[in-house]
Amino acid sequence: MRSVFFAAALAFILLIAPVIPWRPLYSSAADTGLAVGCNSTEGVVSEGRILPGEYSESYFDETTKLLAYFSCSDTDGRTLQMAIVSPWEGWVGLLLQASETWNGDMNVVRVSYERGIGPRSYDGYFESASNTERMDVDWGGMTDVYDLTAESNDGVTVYEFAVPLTSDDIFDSHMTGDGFLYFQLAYSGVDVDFKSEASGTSPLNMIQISTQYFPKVWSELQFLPLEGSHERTGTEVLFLLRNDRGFSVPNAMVHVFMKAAFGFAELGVVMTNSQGVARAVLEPRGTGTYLVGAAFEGGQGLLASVVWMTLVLEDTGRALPIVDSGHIALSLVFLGVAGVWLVYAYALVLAHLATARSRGDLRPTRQQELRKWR
Amino acid sequence: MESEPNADRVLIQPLQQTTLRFLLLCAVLIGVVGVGAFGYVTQLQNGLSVTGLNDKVSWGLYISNFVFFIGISYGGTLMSAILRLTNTEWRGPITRLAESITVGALFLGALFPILDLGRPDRTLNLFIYGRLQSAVLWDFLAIGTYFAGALVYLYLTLIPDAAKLRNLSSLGGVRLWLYRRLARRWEGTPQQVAMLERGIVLMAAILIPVAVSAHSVLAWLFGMTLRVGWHSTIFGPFFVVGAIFSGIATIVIVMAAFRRFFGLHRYFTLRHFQRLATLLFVMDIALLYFTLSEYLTVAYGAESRDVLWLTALMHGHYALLFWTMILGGFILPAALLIIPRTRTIPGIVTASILIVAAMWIERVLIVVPTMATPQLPFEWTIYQPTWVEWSITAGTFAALILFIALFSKVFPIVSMWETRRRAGAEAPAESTAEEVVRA
Repeated sequence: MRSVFFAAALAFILLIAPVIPWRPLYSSAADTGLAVGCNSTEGVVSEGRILPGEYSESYFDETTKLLAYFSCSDTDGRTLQMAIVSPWEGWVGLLLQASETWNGDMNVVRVSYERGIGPRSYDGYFESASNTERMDVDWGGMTDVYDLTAESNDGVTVYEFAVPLTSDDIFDSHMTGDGFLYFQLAYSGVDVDFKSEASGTSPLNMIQISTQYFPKVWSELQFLPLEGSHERTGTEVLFLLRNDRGFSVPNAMVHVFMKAAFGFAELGVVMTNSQGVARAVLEPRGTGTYLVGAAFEGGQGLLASVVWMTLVLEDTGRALPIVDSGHIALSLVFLGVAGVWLVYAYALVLAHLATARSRGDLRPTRQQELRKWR
Repeated sequence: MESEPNADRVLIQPLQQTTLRFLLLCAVLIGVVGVGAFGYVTQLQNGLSVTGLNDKVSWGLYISNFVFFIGISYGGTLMSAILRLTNTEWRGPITRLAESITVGALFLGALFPILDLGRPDRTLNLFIYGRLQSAVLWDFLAIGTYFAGALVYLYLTLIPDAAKLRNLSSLGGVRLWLYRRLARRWEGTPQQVAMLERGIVLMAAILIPVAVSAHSVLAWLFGMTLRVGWHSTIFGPFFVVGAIFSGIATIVIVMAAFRRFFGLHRYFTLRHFQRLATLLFVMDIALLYFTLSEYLTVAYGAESRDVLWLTALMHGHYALLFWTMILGGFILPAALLIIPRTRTIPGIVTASILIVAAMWIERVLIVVPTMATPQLPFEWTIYQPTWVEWSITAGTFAALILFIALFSKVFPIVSMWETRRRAGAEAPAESTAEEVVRA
């Protein structure tokens, strides 16, 4: 009896063990699930500034460094209201699932801001079957990007706009009831031309549009006054994370990054302490102007938040002079190398003079050589 | 030493007579160079994917060869210049040999970074986008300066011999044309000799710091990189000592070959070999000291990535090469060079061959394990050179031997005028030519 029991147990283990999820299971369809509440109140005012209480959901994308806020309004047709905080000079875009049933088609919205011109938008449609993207008007639809405003300060632009979810235009997104929509964020680094390719695209994510939701509350990440001077050996930067009531948020992760010539340099993740303060050390390789960003990705019932700061690092004169004064070092190297080449030239001149002195051509003629042989 | 005309005849004879054995050697070497050229054409057509190089080990065999060849070249001219400046009386037969090795090895060694590029046209980017902060640009400048200096130095020392040879009609039109262009109107008058010697001494004096700084710059190419095994303050002197070490060993091997095949027993004597053996021993000990200092410092610090790298060297993937280098290339040669019974020509040449092989392994061990050590917590990269890299390496070694062999057919491999000066007085060039023709 005991052997039968053991045999059964062994068979059970052998059969079941391979299918037990020993590792955590992850969804391969979307990275993040976000719940966007839809109600009939007018919460969002589009003026290029994000205010506490305006949006109910947020998403910070580590790839594009874009922070998107979402809200939904059922007033006058269902509308998705959005804000995007962008450190990019080119356009930023939203790709939103087009049909109620996911088939790969996307409603493409791009926005840009140019000083002196103002904000501009592009409403396009990507058809996955033909792998083609065109403006809605070219497909036979119309442009449906509403209430676009933008504000740009110190290299960071905040866009606010709305896109309909119950439009008559078949080339827009559609979500008449509650449900899920796939979305992606994208940017073009420097080119404001809407025809330019995206320089970076976020992973495919999902938002759930629902009238039943728990709204997240406002969070704000701030730079604290810097401690110490801007030295080339490193600069200490402090961040403070607060919630909607102004209380500090402890034990939260803050991602820190710095804008380089191409993309961003990740400076790592720091944790806020019990006073909601996190500390990061920047070690740029030279003087100049750096756009430093920090992001709280949300959590603990809080919306995500991001803060940007332009850091100007100046020479304090405390660096090693020979490294700092490049022209002096280069001059010394140039003088040294030039001196060596001058010595070569002098040696060649000596050789030239030595071989130029002659009492006549000493080379014996063929006849002279033959005569000597004889 | 033989009497003056006989001495010149022995040295000129290889220029006048070419044996079947020499032609056979050249044919084999050309064949190996051809295989190397085929390998390079394959690489040009298909890209670096035909090599074992990858995104992590991107330097591999090519840059190891680069460092090795540049090292040999530095040893050659440093030897020649130091012996000349110190007026060492036994230097006569050695200097020309050392200078020719320098020029050949420097030229061939400098090709390896271009081979490693995969796209040779991108060499131009060094000039278009080069940044003076980059050690790569310093290296290019240093090697270019050194190569130019080595050529000028070799040219100056060739002038008196070219003058002696320009009247030997039996040497053929092209060579006579070359001798006449080089020697111009050299007669060997005291004023001319004084002027030329001033130039030679000046070049010898400037080439020593140029060679040291150039090899230091090559070392900084590694040392200024924040990577395990490279970021070291001793890399400059470590490389310079290694260069002299491998350079002297190469001179010994080439000396032995010419002694054997050109019958130059009376020029390359046991005394020359033993003097060089003493230098080799000193350099061997110095290199062992540097090696111990380098590895002991790193091992004592025991940072996690350093430990990974050291473990791979000491008893990991590279242990066989590492211990072969230490025991077979440093310890055993030291014994061969110091024990009186083995301080013979065969013993010294054997030690030199072991040293050259060990120094090549050392260059590989400097380049490859460091690049293979993970900089992030990823897996190790295993670098395995393919036939393309091996064929190009073999082809370059063959090209160096071919260059030295062909050089010895154009100029006497032993400097006639310096050997003569060591033996006695300088004779006018025309009388020497007459005597040689009579002989």
